Amino acid sequence: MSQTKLSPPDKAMRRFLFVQFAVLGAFAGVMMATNAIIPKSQLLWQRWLFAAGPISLLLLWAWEFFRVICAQDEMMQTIQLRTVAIASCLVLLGASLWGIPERLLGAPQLPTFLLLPLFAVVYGITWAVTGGRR
Amino acid sequence: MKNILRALREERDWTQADLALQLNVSRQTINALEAGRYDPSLPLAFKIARLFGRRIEDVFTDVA
Repeated sequence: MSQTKLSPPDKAMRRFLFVQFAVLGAFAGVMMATNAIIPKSQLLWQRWLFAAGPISLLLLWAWEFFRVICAQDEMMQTIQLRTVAIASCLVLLGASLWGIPERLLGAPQLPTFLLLPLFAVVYGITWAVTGGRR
Repeated sequence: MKNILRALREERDWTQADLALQLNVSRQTINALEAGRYDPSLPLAFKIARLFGRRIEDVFTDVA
């Protein structure tokens, strides 16, 4: 029997990891470019056009994330949904905790567009800790 | 629940990935099943038993 052929859930996970790396890498690049270009652009439609890039990438990431959860088997879905819950709580807690010194002590503002990439990072760490990579 | 999944798989000289492919689950799930860290749903348990031509109670044993 072939030793290299992957089951559909394994293929879906491998594909997602590749897509996630590419999409979040592209998101970081596009955000930097957009931040540099948008202030120079005077027209509103041009600003929207530039903003559409990172928005599309985040929506693509969300779609791919939804797809990989649907493609998993029963055990992996359970682990993934538990991981989503834990990672969401941690990100929300972190953002709220950051918000207190931000509002009361003048700490630097946490850009909200970073919440999803932050979630992706926290999700990855939580996934490893909760046993998703065993 | 205990099971003899690893023994059945090794009898056939299958890897965990081979078995995962046939059951349409991830290799991690096979690993967790064999280690006794995960108890399968009834449909998956039936699928496993059918694949090896055994009854469910031959493959899985309740230890409680």
